[in-house]
Amino acid sequence: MSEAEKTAEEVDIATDGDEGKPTLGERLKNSGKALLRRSMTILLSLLAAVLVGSVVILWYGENPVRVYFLLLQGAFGSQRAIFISLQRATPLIFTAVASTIAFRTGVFNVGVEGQFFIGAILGTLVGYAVKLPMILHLPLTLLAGFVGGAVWAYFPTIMRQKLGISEIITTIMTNYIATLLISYLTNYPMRASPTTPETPPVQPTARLLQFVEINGKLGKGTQAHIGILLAIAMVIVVYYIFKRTTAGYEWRMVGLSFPFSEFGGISLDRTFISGMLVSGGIAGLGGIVEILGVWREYKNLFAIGFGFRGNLAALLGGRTVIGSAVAALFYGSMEAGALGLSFSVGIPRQLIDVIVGLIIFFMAAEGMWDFIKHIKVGGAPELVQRTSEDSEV
Amino acid sequence: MTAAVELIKIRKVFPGVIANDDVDFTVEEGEIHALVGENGAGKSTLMNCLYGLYRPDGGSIKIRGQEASIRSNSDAIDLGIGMVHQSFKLVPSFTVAENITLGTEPTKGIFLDREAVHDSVTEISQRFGLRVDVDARIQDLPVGVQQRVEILKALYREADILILDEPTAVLTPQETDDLFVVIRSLVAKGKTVIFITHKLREVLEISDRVTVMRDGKMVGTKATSDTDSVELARMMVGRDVLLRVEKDEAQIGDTVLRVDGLKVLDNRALRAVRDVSLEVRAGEILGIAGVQGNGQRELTEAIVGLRQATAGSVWLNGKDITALSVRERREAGLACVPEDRYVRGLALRATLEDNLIVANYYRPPMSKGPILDLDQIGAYADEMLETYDVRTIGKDVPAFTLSGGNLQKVVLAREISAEPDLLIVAQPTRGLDIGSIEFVHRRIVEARDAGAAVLLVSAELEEVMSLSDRIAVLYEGKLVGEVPGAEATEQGLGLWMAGITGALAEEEVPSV
Amino acid sequence: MDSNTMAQIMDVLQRYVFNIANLQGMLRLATPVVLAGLCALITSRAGILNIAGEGMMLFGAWFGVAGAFFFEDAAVGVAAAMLSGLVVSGLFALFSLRFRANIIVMGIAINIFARAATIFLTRLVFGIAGAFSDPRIAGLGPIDIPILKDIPILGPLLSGYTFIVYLAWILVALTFVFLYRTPWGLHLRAVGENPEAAETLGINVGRIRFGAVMASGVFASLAGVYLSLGHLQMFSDNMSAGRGFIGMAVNTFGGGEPLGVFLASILFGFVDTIGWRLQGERLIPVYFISMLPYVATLVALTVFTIRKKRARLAAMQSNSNHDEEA
Repeated sequence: MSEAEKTAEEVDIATDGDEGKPTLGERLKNSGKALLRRSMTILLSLLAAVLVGSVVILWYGENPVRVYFLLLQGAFGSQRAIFISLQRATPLIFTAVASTIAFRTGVFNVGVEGQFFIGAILGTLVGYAVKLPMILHLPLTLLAGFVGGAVWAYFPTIMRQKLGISEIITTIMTNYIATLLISYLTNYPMRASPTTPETPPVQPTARLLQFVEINGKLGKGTQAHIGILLAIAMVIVVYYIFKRTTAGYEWRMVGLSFPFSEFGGISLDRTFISGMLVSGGIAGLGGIVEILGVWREYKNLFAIGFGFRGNLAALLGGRTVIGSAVAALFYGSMEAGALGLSFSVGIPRQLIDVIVGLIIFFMAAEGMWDFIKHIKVGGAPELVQRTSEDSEV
Repeated sequence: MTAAVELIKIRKVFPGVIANDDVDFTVEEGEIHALVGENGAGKSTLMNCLYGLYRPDGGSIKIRGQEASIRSNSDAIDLGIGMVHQSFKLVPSFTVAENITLGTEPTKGIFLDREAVHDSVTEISQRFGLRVDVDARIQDLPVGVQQRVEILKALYREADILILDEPTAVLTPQETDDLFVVIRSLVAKGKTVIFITHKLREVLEISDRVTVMRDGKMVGTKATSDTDSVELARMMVGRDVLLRVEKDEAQIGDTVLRVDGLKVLDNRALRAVRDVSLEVRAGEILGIAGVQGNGQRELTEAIVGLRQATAGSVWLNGKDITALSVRERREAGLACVPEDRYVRGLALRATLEDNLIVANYYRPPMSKGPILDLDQIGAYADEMLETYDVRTIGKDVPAFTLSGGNLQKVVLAREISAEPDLLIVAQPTRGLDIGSIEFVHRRIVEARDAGAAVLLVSAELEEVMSLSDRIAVLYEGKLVGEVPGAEATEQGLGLWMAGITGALAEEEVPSV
Repeated sequence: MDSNTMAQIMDVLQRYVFNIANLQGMLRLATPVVLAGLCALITSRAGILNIAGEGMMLFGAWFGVAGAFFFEDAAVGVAAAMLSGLVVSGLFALFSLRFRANIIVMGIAINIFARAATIFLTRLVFGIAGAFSDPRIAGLGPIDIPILKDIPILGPLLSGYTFIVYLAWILVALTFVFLYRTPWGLHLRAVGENPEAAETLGINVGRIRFGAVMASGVFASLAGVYLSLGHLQMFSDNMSAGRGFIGMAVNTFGGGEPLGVFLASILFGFVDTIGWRLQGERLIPVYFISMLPYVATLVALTVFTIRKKRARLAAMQSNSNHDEEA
């Protein structure tokens, strides 16, 4: 298809005489078929990724079936495994939902990575510098995490709304600024010991208890913590916001059609900004939860890529709140499984990232699965809207 | 004599819309042929097929009697077809010469031969009398000059058949005259010109023959000398069935909408609305007639608040709303059925429910504080769908599952149920079947009888004439003429729509 | 100004600016950034948002080491790196351009994938967990350019670098010539600024975009192999350390021009070099120095955009004035 035809398809909604158009029944059937097509795409991508993964495993000299079995066992096979899966999934649930909120309003928040860290460091500061009873301290620390992430999301958003600068580039820049800023903070003003760049540990009143600290037998040998409950609560709250609040309605409508929303009277600026701030806040919340539950001080977390994985999980989950949470759980448990794998079979745990990467490749390449398109989809013309009108970079 | 261009049974379909429906179109050698039709009639699509930008799904093309397979631009260019588009296909940071020679640059080995580039373009410019500064950058040039570059681009590639898509939209009257001189001289040199336009006056002035398209179909071709703007307007928009709406005498109240000296720019920063003043009173329907492209969209957008005016003011019930946001205007009593039904009026991927509450979701009873009252919303939606007879299996289905007529009913439901003081309806029945049209008309009259001031903007002459209590015509951003509905004649309106006003001198008066 | 202050200023200048070791370090540090910048440049000029430079660089680094190790020849390493660059960017182009995947998603996926895959491959192929270093890896040696190296003062500044440093300079010049003096460069710029204009004139937009992405892959992989074979011959996890993104920064800061990219890279290289010095002298923590490219990019973007808006506003004014002449 030529450039021109692509543009025409996007924009050329001309007349629509009622003769010769699909009937109501046909239209519904078509949208059902679209759903079917989507599920098949995901399934096929998964299959393709597993197949390629099998080839890699064979090359490594192992039996793919055995490896996948061990993977699943490491993820779900024992009580300990399940705890580890939950623990690994917790930060991903936050970043995945954060990404989803932004996606739904039509913005790509690649800055979740940086917002996660800034939330973590700000929360850590409040965690060790302030002395309060737990009932006040813990919520305050969590709030600090949320605020840190939200503030970090503010600058790229403003640049996008007021100047039309692509949020992709600005958030990538702020991610790196965050990393370096935190390196400075942990090496100088917030440094606890002269030997290693770490902050002082947070006060006991600001900790999220680990299961093993509650009951020695629960989650034994893991660092699983009650942050997972916070994550689930957060998912429920965000889901509720989307379905039942005015703000959630605005986010949804702006994401589905901003010309329509503008026409209806919704303030586009306010919606994009509020969406991004909440997205950043939740990412930051995820950061501090991870600190309070697992590390209890700010250690170098940069190697782990929580934010980017959250982006990918959101995509795997079809950009819905529940979907991303489930995808994050899946991703986290696969990571747990891969950890076990590296102990038992010696395959590096990076195998999981490789496989997830492959799944994403195959899923994102819609054109690859074009042969499925013979399931025709009809209905009124698909509308593609630009997310930021003046975006130039 | 073999025709220069013959398009035979051309068919082009996009998802959900038949843009060209078995169209036959013939252009004779050496003529100036005007192609007219509303937005979406399919004329640009047809020409894009001829120029190789689209590949037709059916039909064939003959150039000078020979079957031609036009699969890409290069094929069209090789056949001597050149096109100047509405939105210029120019690279802003390149010079005139670079743009004109792009794709066929003279080279010295692997390098560009910049001298040859410059010289060849200068030569062409002089040969055809289209003066340009060959080394100027496009981004520094005014729009009128850019168009000249586009024409030179086509001539540089030895085009014999020139397609001009709405060329005068960006030109001043003086420049338009210059362009016409150029066109005539090109034709004298043996070129053939296809001229897409919606400006009926120009059609009558410059073309030899004119073809009208509507809804993707060919309506007819006439020699320009044999027709007039009324016939053309009717061919562009008209329906075969004459619709007359039963309405009572208007009960006119106070002024609701007042527009004062409004000036609005379009997306290309050209003056779309040039000093419009009007008044609509409660209980009356003011109809604005006119072929699309004369500023209607910008006018309605400025009144609704989607577009800022550069001068003038808008008053609603005596309150100055010029600086208010869309939401504030809606709260002040404004409602609108927009001409872009599927882009502005609805979110096709959202549910019917969501579409219905966009203007009132944030207030009781639809919500209590920040929480939506889903029961209330559901009840409201049910009521709307019932009252407005929307055929659907439920309120939770996405909007795109509905037909055009039903979708327009949804829009009407939302806007009219707000009991507005001012109701704007723009092109309300475009593309609808007879039953839906009647329904829409009845509702508009109902709103008016309930005391709303109704501003009707439509290119459908019959619709305007049968619904309106007063009629004015918008031509090139100005209101020309106003007449009570009962006294309006097609002839009179047609003349106004072609820009022919009472005193010819009126056109020369500079805008204030 | 008394002689004491003069002496102090001269001392600072000599220690930081006119210090040969510093300047040499600056050019060395700048090299991968220049190449990463060219990677970003060639795709952005073609209108493509390419954030996969980081991943491509990492693959280049790894395959460079692999080639140099197995064949005990640095040239093979470089060739292997470039080949990997072509393959990765080819796949990237295929998925994003042909299969219409979202290019941002693809970019993120490639970056994560590269990180994981290179660690994985190190285990798989070399049997090492962690950084891989071996005396058998052939490194890129310094090149002494005759004549040039004997020039007083400038000599040590211009001679004695490894091959890729000089290659980077040459590539900057070649890119300039390509963009502004050849028809293909003209076409590429047209595709980046107004693809419809290019298409209506018969230019194959898809092919040009594909070519731009593949070229960016070569640039990025060269940056990568410089990192792994240039000084120490080793591969370690996440070797690229964000240079792919600094490449994007210098491209934006350099206005999308080859010379701009070169100068911006030198500038950041310079600032980076003295950054460690300044940290040593307890003046500024090095982290703020390292932040400079990113902050500068944000500032530059803001300034460019505001200026563009003002220009557009002025153009609109002149258009509507022109329109007024009736």
